[in-house]
Amino acid sequence: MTLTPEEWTIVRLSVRVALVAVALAMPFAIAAGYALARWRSRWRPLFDTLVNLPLVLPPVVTGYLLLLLLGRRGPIGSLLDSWFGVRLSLTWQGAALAAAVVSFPLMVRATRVAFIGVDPRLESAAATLGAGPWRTFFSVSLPLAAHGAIAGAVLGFARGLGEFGATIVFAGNIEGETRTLPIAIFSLAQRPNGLAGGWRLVVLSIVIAFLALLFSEIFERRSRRRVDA
Amino acid sequence: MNDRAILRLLAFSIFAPGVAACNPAPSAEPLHLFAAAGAIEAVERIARDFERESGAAVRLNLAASSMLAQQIRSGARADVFLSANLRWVDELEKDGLVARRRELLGNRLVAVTPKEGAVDLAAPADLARPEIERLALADPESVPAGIYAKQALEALGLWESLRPRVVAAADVRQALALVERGEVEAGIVYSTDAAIAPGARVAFAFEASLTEPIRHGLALIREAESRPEAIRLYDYLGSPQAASVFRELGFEVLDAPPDPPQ
Repeated sequence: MTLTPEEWTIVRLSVRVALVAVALAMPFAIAAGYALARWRSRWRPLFDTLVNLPLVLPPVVTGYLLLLLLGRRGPIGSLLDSWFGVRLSLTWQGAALAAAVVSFPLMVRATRVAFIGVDPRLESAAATLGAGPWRTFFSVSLPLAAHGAIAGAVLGFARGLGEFGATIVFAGNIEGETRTLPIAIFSLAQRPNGLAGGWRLVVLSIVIAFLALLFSEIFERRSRRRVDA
Repeated sequence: MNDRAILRLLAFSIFAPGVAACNPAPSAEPLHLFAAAGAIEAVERIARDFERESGAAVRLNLAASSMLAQQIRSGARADVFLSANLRWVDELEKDGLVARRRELLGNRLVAVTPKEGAVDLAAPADLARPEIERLALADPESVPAGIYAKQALEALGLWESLRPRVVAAADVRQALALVERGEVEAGIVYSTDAAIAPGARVAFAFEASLTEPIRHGLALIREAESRPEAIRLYDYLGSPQAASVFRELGFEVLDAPPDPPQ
């Protein structure tokens, strides 16, 4: 199976968008995962719900909200444009942002499970040995939860690669800029010969999704084993 | 909730609608009218008029003609199909899916800009100006409005230079919405779309000679041929009543062809 130059462009773009999305969402996902694992408050269910909202919200709605806020005439988008000349709607950076928002809950889930598996006594021990909260987090909690964070990153990457609804609304379908795998497949499926011209992209999507799930499962298993131990 | 309970719930939610569908169907099966996104307002009005007159229920499926044609091709239940171009009707005809067809409407292509803060465009060549960073078209590889727009830009020698700026919208109305919201500096849509868009302004119209004739085709789907109400709906869309709605919304209504000898 060899890809045409156009297909390579689509694949490279999709990988870049998904990687940037993961990089963008990861710090927040780690913070939220840690907060959800450790924080005991009656507000936690609310926070939990908010974090998970993009998981169940129709992605088209997520995209539309992004467009309303960050579009060129949106309250934030117009400021970004006039202050920094930064435009997110209809750009690949926008596609990455859309993918980040949609993948975020999945990444939080995986990191939270991993943080729950970190024995709080180890953190207390670090604290009694004089480590501040930041040092404790970065030298004890985070390394022990790394498997979960990686599992989350892989899952987020796969979800980001597959992102369609929010992306097409917020970033559109621009050749070489925002035409990612699912959007290219959607486009191709409407041509007279249908998916005949796009079956390689379909196969590729299935392979990537399969591998990503497999990897994240392997990493999550390790982090769960740690929880059981 | 344990895993098994979740599974049971899932199974229920998947199969319950199917079980419901097995109940004896109501006697009047609704008609399915698939229509091009650009004809939404007209088709909605005409379908409601038809429902009032005939008593039959009409369900609308509105999307890009390319999408609708692919759905019909893969077995979607459609009775009548209003396509924004003839090519998609041809494609269905090749697959033996069309019982009757006719050219129903004519349209024109225009360039639109956002109403506020727009770049002034007087002629097609202005689309190449650097201020036009993004140009919204319906997908130029499949959606009729985009195919026509690409033909016009190619005829003008502008296509290759504009191509990297093209936002390929899922249908003509998405292209229009991007213009109205000011996300793109310009777009190419039908004059009938521009007419109903308060947030867009027509900059100029494209010469009709730049594209193949812009024709919206009507097709009666093969399987619907045995349903008298479906034929009635097909005929109604070509009736003077429907024509007045189409005209009111800016479509050119083409003369009905003489009845073929039976």
